[in-house]
Amino acid sequence: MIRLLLDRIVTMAITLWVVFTITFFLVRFTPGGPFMEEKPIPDAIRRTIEAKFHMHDPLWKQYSRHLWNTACLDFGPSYKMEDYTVNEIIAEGFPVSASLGIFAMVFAIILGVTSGVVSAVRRYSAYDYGFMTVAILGIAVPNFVLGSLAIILFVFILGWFPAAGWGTLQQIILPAICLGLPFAGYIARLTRTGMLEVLNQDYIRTAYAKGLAPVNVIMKHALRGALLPVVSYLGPATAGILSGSLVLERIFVLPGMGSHFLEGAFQRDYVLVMGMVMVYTALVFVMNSLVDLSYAIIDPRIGSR
Amino acid sequence: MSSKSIPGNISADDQARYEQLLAESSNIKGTSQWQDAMKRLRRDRAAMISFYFLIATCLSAIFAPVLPLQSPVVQNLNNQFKPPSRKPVSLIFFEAAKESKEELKQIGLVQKLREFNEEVVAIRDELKLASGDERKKLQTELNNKYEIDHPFFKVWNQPGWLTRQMIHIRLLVFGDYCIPSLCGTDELGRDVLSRVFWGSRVSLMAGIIATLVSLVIGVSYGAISGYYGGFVDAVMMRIVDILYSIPFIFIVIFVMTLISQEKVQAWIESYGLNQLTVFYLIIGLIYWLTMARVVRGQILSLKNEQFVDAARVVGADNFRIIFRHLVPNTMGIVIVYLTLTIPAVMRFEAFLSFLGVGVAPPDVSWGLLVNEGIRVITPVRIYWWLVLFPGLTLTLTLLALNFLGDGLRDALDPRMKNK
Repeated sequence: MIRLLLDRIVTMAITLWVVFTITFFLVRFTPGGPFMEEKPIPDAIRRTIEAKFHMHDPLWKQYSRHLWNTACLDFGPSYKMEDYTVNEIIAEGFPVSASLGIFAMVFAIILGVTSGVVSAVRRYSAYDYGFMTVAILGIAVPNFVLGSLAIILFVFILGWFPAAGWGTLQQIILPAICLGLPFAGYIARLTRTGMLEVLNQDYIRTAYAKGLAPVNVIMKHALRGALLPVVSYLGPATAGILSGSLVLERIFVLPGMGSHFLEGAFQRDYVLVMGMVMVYTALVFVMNSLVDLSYAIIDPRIGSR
Repeated sequence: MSSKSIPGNISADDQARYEQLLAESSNIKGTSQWQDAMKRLRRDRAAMISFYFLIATCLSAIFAPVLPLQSPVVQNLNNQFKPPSRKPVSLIFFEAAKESKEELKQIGLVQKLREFNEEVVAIRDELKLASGDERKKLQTELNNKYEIDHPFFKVWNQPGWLTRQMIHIRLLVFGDYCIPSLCGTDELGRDVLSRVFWGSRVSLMAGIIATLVSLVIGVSYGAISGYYGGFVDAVMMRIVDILYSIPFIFIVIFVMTLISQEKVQAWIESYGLNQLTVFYLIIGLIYWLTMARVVRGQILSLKNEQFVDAARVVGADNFRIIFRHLVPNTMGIVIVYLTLTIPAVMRFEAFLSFLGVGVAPPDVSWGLLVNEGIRVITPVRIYWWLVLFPGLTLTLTLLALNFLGDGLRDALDPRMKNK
């Protein structure tokens, strides 16, 4: 277990370093620095800015200084937003994106697992076909199409939800559902496949034979084994939820990390974008590692390897 | 065959029986892996419907210029945000009238083309008589006429040579007739139906080019890693592991905004590429990881087979063994992953175009169309057709590709044989 943990930490450090290096040199080697504007700024101001950001130092010095600051979790001041450091912007956007993502994830797991179990237990029934068709649709429809159609239908035509803004439960429900639906589809399919495999095992027959109620057999004995593939899917799903929230934050105008990231990219605020890319990479990595660890806990055979 | 005699002292009865058996057996044909797969695929109705749908989509994308569509670029501010209608439309060319400066004159494109050709003929005639400086001047004028003033350039977005020929065919067959705005018009009065058709060219092209790039990289990387094994394999697969855990979407958004700078664009164009091509390549560059892993796994199980030893004995070098003997044997699984990579790549293109960092106007793609639609929607005016039609087309295409990929996977799976 500890070896696994150590291995993950080392890999994470390497990954973050690779991402840092890629983004750093992409910025430095594209013609036109971060301060290239459509209209030129006066020379004196340019010199001040360049001195402030140490742009006359040799490249390796800039690189190591920036790397050290990033390692200390100090991403520096934003190039374009006045009086904001990148850390402050991330701190502002993170709670919004996190709650959106958590809501979406919880929704996806509840809906996906339930419909997956029902489909597997009532195999080849109308439920099964219905759920699986919806799941395939949910996976195939791109989330921006889903989000756009949802906002037209439920917000503008039916008026059930507010169009934008952040803070109340009503404002979070629709984007969270749109964000979570494709993942619910995946989870439903994974659960169904897992359940079908487990339901054929001997221990399920034993459980039935000793007279347990079907609900107990399914919920206590079968589901535990069937959920393994679902748990391992949660790692990649986090990456998907993070990138999906870019789209939904844009459609529903939510002040999350995604909106700040896109805004930063459009404004060419390189410091902000670099910082955000690092944070996203770290988030995805931590989630993947957590999934690996929890996998080892759920299935004892894996931890002992 | 029938005259072949069977040796030994066999009775005539037996001989007849054997001959019959022989004749029967010669009629039995072995089925190859691919024939078998095709047979199974044909029985999969969802996959076959998807297959025909995709063929139709590709054909309509290739031959979009021949179809009687309205112009995808001409702006008509009298025609903004019109809901779907069946009112007939004809291909109109707007021209500032020479006498009164305010009024726009509308003439049919066929008429305009005729006038244009007459002008060209007039210049040609002058050219025949002219000489010296006069001749040079007329020659540049003629070139300008073709490269800049041609009416096609005002009605379509930078048509290439082949596209122009197809437009000629369209004008010959359909004249000025256009399909009515069945899908409505957008904020600049452009026909959505026609933009969906023209957008399909960019979207499908993205799918194909990016997938080919990922195919080349993934197959070579996986094959080399699997073939050499040992330390090389460990290092190469470690790199893939690390790349897997990088959320490339964010880096690509970052790179795309870098590329959209004017200076960078000039630098790219100095290499003879345009932004769109670079965009396709970048998508391809990040989608090869799964392919590499799959191919490596296949190569690992194949490389100890006897045919590899045989090839080595005859003197084939490593490169030849990998790409002539091993890679062709992985084609089945590669094709399955290929059909699953195409929708992933197309979805990614649409995603980036929707966010406004992918395909840039005047080019159109499905993702960009949805983006343009959602941008102008307000609670007061709901232009649902701007989002629904491009979104639906994209979804159907992705769905069809997924079904076809699943169908191919099942068809090429030997365990499914005779099921």
